[in-house]
This record gives sequence, C-alpha cells and structure tokens, in this order.
Amino acid sequence: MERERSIEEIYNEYMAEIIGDGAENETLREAMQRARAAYRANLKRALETFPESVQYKEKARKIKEYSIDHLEELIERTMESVRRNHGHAYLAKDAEEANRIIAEIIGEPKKIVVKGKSLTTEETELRQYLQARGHEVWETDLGEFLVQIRGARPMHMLAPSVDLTREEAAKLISEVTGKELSPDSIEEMVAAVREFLRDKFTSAHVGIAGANAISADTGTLFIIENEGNIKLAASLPEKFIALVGVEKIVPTLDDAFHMVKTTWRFANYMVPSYLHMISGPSKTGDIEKVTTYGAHGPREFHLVLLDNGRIELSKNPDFKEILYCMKCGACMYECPLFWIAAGHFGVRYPGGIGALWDAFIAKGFKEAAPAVYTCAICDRCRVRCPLNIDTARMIIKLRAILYEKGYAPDVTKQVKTKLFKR
Amino acid sequence: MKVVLAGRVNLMHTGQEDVLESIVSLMGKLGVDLAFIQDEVVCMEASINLGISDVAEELFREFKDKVEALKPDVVVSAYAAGVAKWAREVPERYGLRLSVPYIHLTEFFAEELERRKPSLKPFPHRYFLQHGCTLGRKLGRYQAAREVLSHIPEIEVIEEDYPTAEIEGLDPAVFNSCPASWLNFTLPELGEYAKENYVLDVLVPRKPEFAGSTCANGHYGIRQGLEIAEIEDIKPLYFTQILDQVWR
Repeated sequence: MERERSIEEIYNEYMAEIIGDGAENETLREAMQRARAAYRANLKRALETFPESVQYKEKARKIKEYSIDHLEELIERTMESVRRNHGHAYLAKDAEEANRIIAEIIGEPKKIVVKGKSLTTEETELRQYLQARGHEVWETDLGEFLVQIRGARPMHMLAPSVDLTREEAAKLISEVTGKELSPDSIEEMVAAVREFLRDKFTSAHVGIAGANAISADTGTLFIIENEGNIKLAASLPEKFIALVGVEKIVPTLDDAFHMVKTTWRFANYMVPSYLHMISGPSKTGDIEKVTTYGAHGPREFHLVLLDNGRIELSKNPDFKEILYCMKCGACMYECPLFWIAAGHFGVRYPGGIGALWDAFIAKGFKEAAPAVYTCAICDRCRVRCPLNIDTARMIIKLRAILYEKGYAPDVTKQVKTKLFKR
Repeated sequence: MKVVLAGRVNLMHTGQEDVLESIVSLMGKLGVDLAFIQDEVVCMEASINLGISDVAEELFREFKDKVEALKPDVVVSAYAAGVAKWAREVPERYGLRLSVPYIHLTEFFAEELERRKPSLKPFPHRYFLQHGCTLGRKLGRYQAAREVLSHIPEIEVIEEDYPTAEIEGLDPAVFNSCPASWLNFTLPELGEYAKENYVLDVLVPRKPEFAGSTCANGHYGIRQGLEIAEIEDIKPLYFTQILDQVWR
C-alpha cells in the first residue's frame, strides 16, 4: 500500500515541478505567449463574426444553475433515456468503479482501444488502468497523443500540449513515427500522426470518448471536436463507450446545444469541424421497418456517468459553482500563473478552477492544497469565464478549510504570528 | 477635515516609504488633519484571503474600535483590500460596519481635485496605469484613478487593452493583467516568476517611463517585478507621488 505523503512532501514536490518544469522553462513561457496571442486573436474573430455569442453567457449560466440544482433527478432521467434508446447506462460512484465497469465492457485482454480526448478519463486515469490490463490504448487527439507519447499529463483543458513548441512536437512525432519531420511544417506532423493512427482506428475493438453535454430528455451525447478522431472512434469499433461526469447533464436537447455552442465559441472557435450527437447504438429499420441494432456504426453503446463526489458537491452552496465549469479553458489563457506554469499549476485539473476540481473531485484537499494557494486571486478568470464562475471567491473559502486542516504553506502559517502578532 | 490613513504600516513593511511620504505631503498641502491607527496590524485583510479565519473577526473588530476612536470624517487607504472587505465581506461575515466612509485614495483625490481644481504642473511622461485587481475588477471602480490623472497636464496615460472588450461591452480594465502580489503571502518564490513575467510581458512592450497600480499591493508587485527583471528604464511611481510632484 502506498504511504500517505506529508503536507511538506506534497508542497516540496509541487514546488519543484511548478518552478522546475514550469516557471524556469523558457520554452514553455514562449509556447504560452504564442498560445495566448492565438487565443485572443481567434476569440476576437469569433466574437466579431458572431456578436450574439456575448448573449449566450447568461442563458448558459441559468441552464447550469438549474441542472446542478436538479442533478440527481437529471441523472435518473438520462439513464432512462439511454436505456430507452437501446444503450447501456451506468452510474459509477468513483473513479475505480468507472474504470472497472469500462474494463468489464471491453472484456478479454489485448483489445485495441482508441480514445478521444477527455478530462474525465484523465480524472480516472482510464488509459493507464486499461493498459495495465493488457489493452492497447491509443489517444487519438493530436495533443493528447503527444501527451501519451511523452508520458506527460495534459497541460490545458482543451489544448493538452499547449506547453509544447513546434520544435518539440516535431522531435516527438519523428521518434514515434520513424519519419524525419521538420518543425517548419505542422502540416507534415499532422499527416504523419494521421497515417500512424489510421491502422489503429480500423482495427480497434472499442472506441472511448467523453462528452461536452448530455440532454437528459433524449439521452443524447453532444461531443465537440475538430480533428475527426472522435468521428472514427465513435463509428468504426464494435463498441462505443462514453465516460462523462454527471455535471454535463442538462435537461433538454435545446439546452445541450446551447451549452456546446457557448463552449466552443469561448474556447475561441467560430464553429468546430464536427459536432456529434450520439443517442445510442447504430441501427437500421430498412427491412420491413424492423429496428435492428448494429448497422455501420457500433453495435453497443455504453454511457458511464461518473459521480466521484459531484453529487455531494452539487448540494454544497459555497462550492457547487465548481460544477458549472464547461471546461472551455478560456480562463487559463488569462491567468498570470498559468502564463508561467501552464498545467503544472494544478494536479489533475489545471489552473485556478482546476485547483478546485482537484480539491473536491479528483485529488482531495491535501493533494490539492499547493494548487489552491498558487492562485493569485486576481479574479481575471471570472471575467473571461462565459459562466462568470467566481473561482477566486471559492479559493478564498477553501483556503479557510485548508488552513484549519494545517494544509496552508509555511509562509501563510507564519502570517498569523509575524504580521498579526497573534 | 480629519482623515485616517489605513495601511500605513503595510507601506512601511513593504519598503514603500516613498509612497507614504507622498501621501503625507499631499495631505499637508490639502490642509487636512491626517491621523494614523495606533499599533496597526500589517495587512489584516489577508486574514480572509489566506484563510486565517480564526483571528479575522478579532482583527476587524479591533480596527473598527481604533478607527472610530479617532473620530475621522473619512478613512482612506492606498490598498484596495480594506476598501473591499469593509464594503462587503466584513459586514456580511461578521455584521461589522464602520460608522464613517472607507474609500480608496484614488477616490479621495478625485473628489478633492474636482472640488479644489488646483493648477498642477505638467508631467510630460508616459505613465502606465494598472487597475488593481480588487479595486478594479472586483469592485468595478476604475474611473477615480483616471479622473485624478486627467487633471495632470501633459501626462500620457497608457492602459492595457484587450481585444474583445468592446465587443463584449466591457471596460478593457476589467481584463487588466495581474502582477500576482498576493503570492507574497503564499508561495513567494513562485510569485517572483509571475511578477517578472508581468513586467516583461505587459510593461516592457508598452514602453512607459513610469508605471504604477491603483492599489499599493499591486504597486508593490510591479516594483518587485521591475527589480527581479532588472528593468531600469521603467520606474515605479504611485499616483500620489506624481500628484505630490506636480502640486504647486
């Protein structure tokens, strides 16, 4: 059994990483500057082209407020809808149970699994779990593929390799594909990965992805993507499994569409290349109108809903706003700490809102404490957040709990005696 | 008029005596009766922001008693945290309210300048103004600082822009970058990098001769950042230092 680390060890390791791999890494700072400039330019273009997007924010907030306040009811309704659609629905209480359910659905070892980018699967460490059971698992989103081959963790909610420069990406892709790639051509890098992963898609037994929203009334998953990898992962294999946090559920199809269009617009896209709506296994009724499952797409559709503390959090008036996060990642491009450290600011989830997710969902208070005290409480993320999530307010409230538990950093602990003379 | 200056010890504790001197000098020029709080605690507002909640109420209660004993007409501070805490959090959390107004120095001087309309000397320099996160973004109070600086002849004020502010119908200052001063109370060794990055990323490209924040905490972050980044051609200058220089 793994020994529980002391708070001092946790701080020391965190600081070594955030300073060593983050703040002192000049390449990372440069990558972040480029990413920030691109984000702002893209967002400007998207909002100028679709100025009505600014009005999306208020309605999106209301949908989330209602959904989180009615979470358990919506979970039940979603599971009924999925089953009505001839899919399978599960509610996993924690990460371990979610991974176990998915492993059981996949079945015997040595299956080929192709995955789409999903923070929820990162939360449960699904890839590592399945690999340890002998499955060949491939991340198929380019950024996440780079994360996998370098043995790292995602550095941003939507752009997992935001910390990499083109020079580093070319080196990594050259190593794994055996092609000599130049940093001057991102197009060639993309083509090399496409060619490398094409065989994996066609021979995969199982496709796995997350979702950006689920409509409870129809049991429909909404998945935004640009690369087309999820299109393949959700279409070619026999089985398709979605692992989705319960907070992604909203009441209706219209609500789900509103949430995804808000997500992509503030994630700086005019429009994504693909928006998938998946409500069950593939089917046909072309012979005598008899509905038969397993046409060209997957024969089986499984939705694993992940609780992992979300239901309890939805009842906490001080912190339930954490669950409003759509993971658009907009806030991170404006965070002064993310500028210098990218996802090293955070443990499983990055940034200030990520510190809150780590504390309540993914890692627990003790492991998340250094990230919570990394936040500069400057409130810039709230302004950039399309849902106006008040991260700084929640960070301050959480600090009171962490301080009480003895999880504050040494400097903070000394304030009481040195400055307040108490 | 009797004015209590809150945060005097913070300015001294952070080596910003130059800012303190300029405030005292200006108050003298205005002819106000300036009073200080005895045995003032350094940055007691941090008790809330850092989670040191077991002493917070006691600190705010003591502050209230000490301030009200001085019987001022107004409490002012170069720091935004105190203004914000007394505006909302302290009344909400502890039911404590000051019997006198507590305003930020930018607001105090904006009012005084408007009322007195003094003839100020020119300040022919490029000045970068950062709106402190608490005063600006959290309280939405930007105009006072702009009004104060608008009274100074020949000053060129530069503020940070943001590409989507207009489309979103927001004051660009709401997006002002942050020199991460609060990290001095949590992870200062990490804060050094953030401050340096702020200076290199936000200040240096805009080529000001002087830079300052509306909030003395943000201003301290800018000072530290300039020092860490070893930038000598941009000088930290708080708005009261400019006012004191140009006041005839």
